[in-house]
Order: sequence, then C-alpha cells, then structure tokens
Amino acid sequence: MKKIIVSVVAVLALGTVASATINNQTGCGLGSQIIKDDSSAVMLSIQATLNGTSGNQTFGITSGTSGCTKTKLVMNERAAEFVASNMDQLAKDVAVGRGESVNTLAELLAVEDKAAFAASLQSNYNAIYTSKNAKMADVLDNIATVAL
Amino acid sequence: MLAALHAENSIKIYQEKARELHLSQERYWHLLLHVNGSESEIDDARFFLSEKGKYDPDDELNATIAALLHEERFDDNATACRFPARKAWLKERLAIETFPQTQCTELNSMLQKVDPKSATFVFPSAHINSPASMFGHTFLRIDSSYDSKLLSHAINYAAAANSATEGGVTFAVKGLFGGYKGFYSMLPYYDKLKEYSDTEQRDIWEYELNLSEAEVRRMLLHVWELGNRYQWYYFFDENCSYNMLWLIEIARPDVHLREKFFYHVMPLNTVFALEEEGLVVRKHYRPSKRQKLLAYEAVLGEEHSKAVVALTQGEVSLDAVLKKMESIQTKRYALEASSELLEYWFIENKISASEYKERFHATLQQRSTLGRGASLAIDEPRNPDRSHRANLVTFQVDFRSDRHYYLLGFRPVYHTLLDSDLGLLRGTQIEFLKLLLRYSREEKVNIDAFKLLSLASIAQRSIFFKPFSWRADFGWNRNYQMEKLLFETSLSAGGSWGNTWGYWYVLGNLFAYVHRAESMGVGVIVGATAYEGERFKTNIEYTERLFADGTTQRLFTVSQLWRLSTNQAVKLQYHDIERFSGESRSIKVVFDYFF
Repeated sequence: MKKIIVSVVAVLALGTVASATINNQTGCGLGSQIIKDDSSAVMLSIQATLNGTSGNQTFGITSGTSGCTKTKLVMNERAAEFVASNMDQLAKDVAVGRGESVNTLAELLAVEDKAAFAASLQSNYNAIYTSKNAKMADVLDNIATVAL
Repeated sequence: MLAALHAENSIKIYQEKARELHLSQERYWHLLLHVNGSESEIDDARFFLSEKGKYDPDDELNATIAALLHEERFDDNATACRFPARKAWLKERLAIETFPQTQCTELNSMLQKVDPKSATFVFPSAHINSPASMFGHTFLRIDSSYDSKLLSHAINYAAAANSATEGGVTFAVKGLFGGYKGFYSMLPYYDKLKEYSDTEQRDIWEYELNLSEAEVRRMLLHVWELGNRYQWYYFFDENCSYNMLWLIEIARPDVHLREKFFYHVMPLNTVFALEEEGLVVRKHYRPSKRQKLLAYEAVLGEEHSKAVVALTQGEVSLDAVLKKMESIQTKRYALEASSELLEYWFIENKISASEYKERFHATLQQRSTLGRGASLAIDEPRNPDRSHRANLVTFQVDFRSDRHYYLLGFRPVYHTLLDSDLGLLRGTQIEFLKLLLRYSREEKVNIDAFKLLSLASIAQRSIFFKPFSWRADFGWNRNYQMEKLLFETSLSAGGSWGNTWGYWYVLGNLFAYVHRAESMGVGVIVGATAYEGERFKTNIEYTERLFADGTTQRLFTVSQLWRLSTNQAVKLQYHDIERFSGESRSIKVVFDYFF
C-alpha cells in the first residue's frame, strides 16, 4: 500500500521526460553529432530522471564512422571515430590552442608533444576546417598534413 | 562419438564436484545470476541456460557446466563466449583444465578496445529547472591505458523507453511499476558526456575507484554476459544506481553494497555507500556547459556579455563587437563564450543548423588568430558527497503568545529551500510526504501539517540564461485565514536573480483551499535568500494574497539556518500569518536530523 501511495505521488512529481534525439545530419560535419533537446520549457521543468533512452541501447563500443567518407591519409579507425563524433568540440579546442579533445586526438595519433601539436593546429585552423561544411575525413587528413 | 561420451562423463564429474562444494549456494554464483532472495532479478530467458534458471540457481549451475563442456556452437554464440565470467569462475572453482575450443571474436575485440584497467563511478548532478533530477543518475566508466578519459567506456543501465511516442504520466507510471525493460549498455565516454554536460547542463562528478585491473576485467566480462538482456525497470528500487552496485560486488565480492538499501535506492546514496566501503580514491569535477557559460559571463561582465549575445544572435558583426574590446584576452573570452552559446542555442533549437555552422565556423576562425591566452577559471562547487541525506526527522518547538507546541516530523524525501544546499543545486526543492505532528497541553496530539508533494525551481536569470522560476505545493497545512488544517494546492511562477551571495525572487501565485468556494485566489510572493559562508543561511519570504471573497492575507517568514554538520541543522524561525482573528505570530526552534 505504501508503495502505491508513494508511487502515485511520484508520478505527479516526475511527469514528463525530455526527448533528446541525435541530430541526423549526414556528412559528419559540424553540428551533426550534437544531441538536440526537443522538449519545451514546460516539459523540461518537470523532467524525469528515469533516464530513458530512446532506441539505441546496444553495446555500442564504436560511435561509428558509418555514413562518413573515409580518410585518405590517416589510417586510424579510432581517431576517425573520435573526430567524427567530436567535430564541434575539436574545432573549439583547435581554435583555442588547447583542450581535452585535441589532447585526446594527439594521444590517438601517438603524438609526443601535445602542446606543440595544439599550437600548430591553432595557427593552421583555416587549413584544417576549410569551411563551415568541413567533414571528418578532410579535417583528419588536413591535421595529418599540417602537424604530423 | 568417443569425444561426446567423454564430454558426458566429465560433465557428470564436474557437476558432482559442484554439488559437493555447494557451489550453487555460493555468494559469487548468486552475484553472477543476480539472485536476490531465491530468484534472479533478470527477466530475459536468454540469460539462462536452463528453463528453470531464473528460479533455480542449482539447475542453472548444472546447465552451465554442461553447456561449457559440450559446446554446440564454436563462434561468438558458444557458451564460453556468451558467458565468459561464469566460465572463468567455474574454471577456477572446479579446476577445469580443458574446455572445447572456441573463437570469441567479438568478445576479444571488445576487450581489446575497452582495455580495462580501472573503474570510475560517475554522478551527473541536478538540472537547473528539474527538481526531480536532484536524484541524479549514476553510471560506471571503465578506464583504459590511455591518459585521456574521453576514450574510456561508460556502462549504463536505463529503461528502454520510447520517449518520442510515450510522454508524461504513461512514462512515469510505467517506469515506477516495471512497465519498461531495463538494459545495460556500453558506449564511449565522449558520447555519454554529450547527454549530460551539453544537453542537460548537468555537472559531472567522477569518483575514481580502487578496483584492481583483475577486478575490473571480471566486472567487464560479466557486463558482456548482460549485454542486451533485460530486466523489468523499477524507478525506486531496481533502478540505474542499484544495478551499478551489482557490478561493483561482482568485481569485489567482499563488498556488500545492495544490502545497505531498503526500499528505495537514491543515486547519490550509492556514492555515500562506495565512500563508506573505502572504494573511492580520487574525485574529479567536470563543469557543464551552463557552468562554463556562467563563468564566462562573470569574467566578461555585463556589457561584454550582452555584446556576446548580440553577436551570437547575428545582430552585430564580429568586427563591430571585437573593436569595442580593448584587451585581447577579453576578445578571446568573448569569442569562446559565443561559440559555447551557439552550441547551446543549437541544442535548444533556437537557431537553425545552417545559422549554427556559419556563425560557429566564423567565430572559431577569428579566435584561432588570437593565440592561446588564459584558460577560463571555473569555480568548483561543493561535492555532492557533502550534501545532507534524504530522510529527515525533525524536532521543533513553536512558541506562541498564549501557548506553545512541541512538534515531531518525518520526511523521506528530500530537500527544501530552507535546508542547507551545500553540495546540491541552489534554489531547488523536492519534498514527498512530510508529516508534522504537534502536541500542546491544550490540544494534545494533532497534525500540524501533512505535505504530499512540494517542488520548486528558483532559477536565477542572467544575461546568457533566462529560465523561469516556479513552485508547486500540494498538502494539508494551517496557513489559511483560520488555524484549521486544510488541503491546499498552490502553483507559482516568476523570476529570480542573484549572485554568489544569494538570490531574490518574485512569483505570481494561484492557490485554492478545499474549504469554501471563496477560499481560493491569487497572490504575490517576494523572497530572498542570503548565504553567510557554508554554515549559515537566511531565508525571508513575504506573501500577499487576495481571496475570491475580496479578503486579503499577509504571510511573512524568516528562517535562519545554522548547519551543525552534514546531517544536522538548527533553524530559528519567525512566522507571521494574518488570520480573521488577527495576526498569528510564532517563533520556532527547529532541529533537523538527516539520515
């Protein structure tokens, strides 16, 4: 009985959950891996903590580069996956000349001097992210050309 | 033919040995099967090799021995590949020397990629506009040989709910009563982080565990066994946090974590449990995007922050904005803030994808020409493991002019605006079922108040963020124009502003008492909260109400908090409630004990 009363009260408190969907833009460019929040302000305010995830509940150890053009110069699956999933975070780090994402990429590419790597990328931002439509393959290949 | 006979023979030998050792009654076997009481909590038939497996650990043990020694498949569908943790344990306990040859390609590929070395417990804290999210969430992170934690893998347990097709009450009800299947899942940490620090603006607290490499590997093998196997998800007890505890016990069976919990498992309480067992070695804070943006706002100041907003909205050009900033460091901060704000607005659907890409790229291009500069310093909030526990018992004395009351109260969940919010999100309130009894010589024992539910989110507005504040209360109280216990529903909305010292708020209020038709109305609530260090806090609130019958009522409260320790506090309060019969004033001394 107590469980029922408590649960009923909880239903009132928990209400709705926000529906967050991965923005399915193809091409692995900027903004394509950002998780969008489709909930309205009202929904958000009574968001639940059920942590329901819509759909993909598999053992996704790969974030996947499916749908992305393959790199021509860099033969590093893990680096490709990382860049594909972190285009925006990496762009910020490259522009600033430091950051966890650029350090992670350095580690994946077995770069010893992370600081020099980041500095080099920063001064070559335009050669790496050549336009607003830059894609993972180009970005990673450009990084290899510029800094490795 | 001979091989099959030989297999039959060895199966019988090992099953007999297992019987002699009472292996099916051992703790570790029960952990591997998730047996609670007499049956397994796993509901998916594919987790069991025997038809009775869910209800009979002994039968399941015999079936496992048989299946491991007489394989019918030799690829990833082999028993050895599907149940590597069971195999490892049985091999050791029964000293089994030879198993049939199998090729566990997927398993090995996973082990190679995840490269388990150590484990970290992760707690995303509350979301600013969602009091319910105060309960938080927990998941595990398996760390590898890489320095970068972004390359670690997160192990998560959640309900597979389709929030796109099911909203609101259906979702909540199903979640509470086991209407959804719960699954463990694994994904790269860099992807998991996006869910919380970016979209949900939740700070992340990481607690590194002292589990050894062998222990973490054991845990991972077991997670593999659970992959894609469901259990019914129950929000209160068999929830995300509870299911993380199983994994830690599998890693280190000496540790008993689940039995510390009775009915409900609150995520933050699992952090306390880990610390009590001495499992936590180091703690780490990851600020959410919201915290970063607030830090930029603070360092840029009002004028430049407004310029950043205009820039991000595309109202002003980059050159125009940067020209007004003298120092290069200000320009750097402004561009960084703008890029963060662009992402945030894109996540919130305030700008289109093309606007986002255009401005994001242009902003970063400009930023890359300004060199490295200084890193933004973000203040680390108090760790949630310093916050008070959820259950409350309270002893109060209420002094009136003509008499006084002694009160005793109990509340299972969780936190109010008047309590110490050290380690919790400011301005957030959630209370369930608070019962306050009172005794006086004249009245003997009576109910002072019984609150069913109270929620509040007093969220401060700033230049980058414009949340609205709100409050909802449902319960019996004596705040009416007569000192009669009545049921009240009250809903409020408005705005709040503040800084590190405190905050103030103005709310419009709609309320109704279950009494007469006229006992409903509108009101205005004005309040302020000031923090005096970590130990003291002052709350003041003034309410002016207009009833449907034209009468008005003033309510005024001051509450001074003195935090004695994490779980003990004293409050000195002054209450002034206008009644038909005149002003009803009281001074209360409150002692709160959390556990």
